[in-house]
Amino acid sequence: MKTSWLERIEQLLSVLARIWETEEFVPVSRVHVSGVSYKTAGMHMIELLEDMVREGIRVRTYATLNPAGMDLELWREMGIPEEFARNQIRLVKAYEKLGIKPILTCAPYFCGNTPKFGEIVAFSESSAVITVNSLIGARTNRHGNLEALSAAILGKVPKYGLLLDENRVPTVKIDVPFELSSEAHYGLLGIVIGEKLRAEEVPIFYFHKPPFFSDLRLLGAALAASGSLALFHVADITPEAVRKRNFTAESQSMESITIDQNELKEAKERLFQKPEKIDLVAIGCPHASVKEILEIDKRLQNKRIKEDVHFWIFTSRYVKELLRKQGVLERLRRKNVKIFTDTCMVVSPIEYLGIKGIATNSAKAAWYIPRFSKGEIKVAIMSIQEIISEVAEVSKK
Amino acid sequence: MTKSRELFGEIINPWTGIIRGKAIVSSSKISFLGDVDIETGIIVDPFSDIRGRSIRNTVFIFRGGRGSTVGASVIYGLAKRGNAPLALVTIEVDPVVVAGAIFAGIPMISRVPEEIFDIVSSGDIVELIPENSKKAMIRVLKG
Repeated sequence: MKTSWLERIEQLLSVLARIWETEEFVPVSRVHVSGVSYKTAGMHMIELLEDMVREGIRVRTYATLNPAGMDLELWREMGIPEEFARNQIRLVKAYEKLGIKPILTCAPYFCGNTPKFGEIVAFSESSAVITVNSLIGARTNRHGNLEALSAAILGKVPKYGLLLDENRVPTVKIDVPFELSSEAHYGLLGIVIGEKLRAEEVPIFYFHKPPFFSDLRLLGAALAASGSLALFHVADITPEAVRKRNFTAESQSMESITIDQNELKEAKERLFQKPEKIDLVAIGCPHASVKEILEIDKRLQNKRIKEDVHFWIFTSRYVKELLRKQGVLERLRRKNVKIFTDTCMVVSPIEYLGIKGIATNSAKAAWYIPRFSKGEIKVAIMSIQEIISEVAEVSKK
Repeated sequence: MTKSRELFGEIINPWTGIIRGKAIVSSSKISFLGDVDIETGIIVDPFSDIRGRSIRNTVFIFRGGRGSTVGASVIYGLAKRGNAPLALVTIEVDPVVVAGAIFAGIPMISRVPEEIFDIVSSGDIVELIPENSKKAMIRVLKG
């Protein structure tokens, strides 16, 4: 290999521009890079990054990292073997040496990497892509990890896809004429719609009742998991829908899909198998916000998690620190709730713990875990309320 | 008797001179993460039409990429271990395979017509000859 890394990276971006049929490049102001878990990225990614570091490559754009395969401090509690931990730390270090901030979260928009409306960015975590596109109105395509890394190093991306106005107009109307009974149902809806649509499609949802931001994060993560979608709108709610008056002018002849309640029920039964016993409750896919964790804390008033169940919440260090300062962390610890950072249930090697049954409120997690564990782990999708009523008991004073 | 057939593709990662090698042909899409053993270059995907065959030092002709974007770094890892193909030839241009080829320094052509699957079989000797900076010819030499 005689060509320099910068030449190769330039070559990659120019070929990508050719593939996407554009000659124009635009500067990016923020990048988010995935491919950080040693479980998926492996030794070959370490080799690649360390080769770049040796040549003195640095990012020139503000860039942050996606979750790793373990909590960098509490990995022993997660049952992670020494060798995995050593390699994981080496992988994160390599990214850091390139100048990328190791915030290790899939919700970078909660911890400093928060794009503004209309800002052009390059993100490479599917749930973060769809969240910043849809709920903030920033503009990013779905990038692979090395594409995002290249964009951070050169500070630019080819101008194509979702950076262009015309590709952000809704292509299909999704009518949900009933009230979704819990946050978990937003994820189920996302899985169902993701299966129906092509990746380039942009749905606009019409809900019976205004959803919360947290509901829409679960919806988006699921749309991205089952359908590779990168953008959705919600009538009267999401920023572009509001500014463009729900795109009524552009969407006269748009196809329309009406979801019926049975469809979600049927999808739940078809796709997810409830385990005989819940060994692990996993919350925080995408990483939980302060508000979501405070709600769990509230629901656990006078209750605690049963001894034979792990109750894990995944979030960022930033959110954990805020909770620590408010005393919430200590209170949750006494209720047998553990908060892990830097990682998530999808990318961490939970198979080391011998877990067979998981409950989660995230349809994305429920979609991926059985696939990654080759069917050895069964995952139930339930709301936090349902989960708590099953795994918590009244605490003895 | 030797007969030869010619096809053309778009150059994705350029090279100089003529590449000559044994073809390995798969009409399916490949996920380099999971489908290929990085330590040997052998295809381990149980559903692959070239399962058990090695792509090391071959002209690897396949439909395109699928699955995890981490696949690009697997291509890089194959090259570091000396297990990479001599060249990659695909029908579809997939950004993950493109990134892998460019970062690993493996010559690559793409947008090759589908009929390559009728013309080339695994084991045939093929040559990749650049026509200009954009286009290359694939010449099939059958034994």
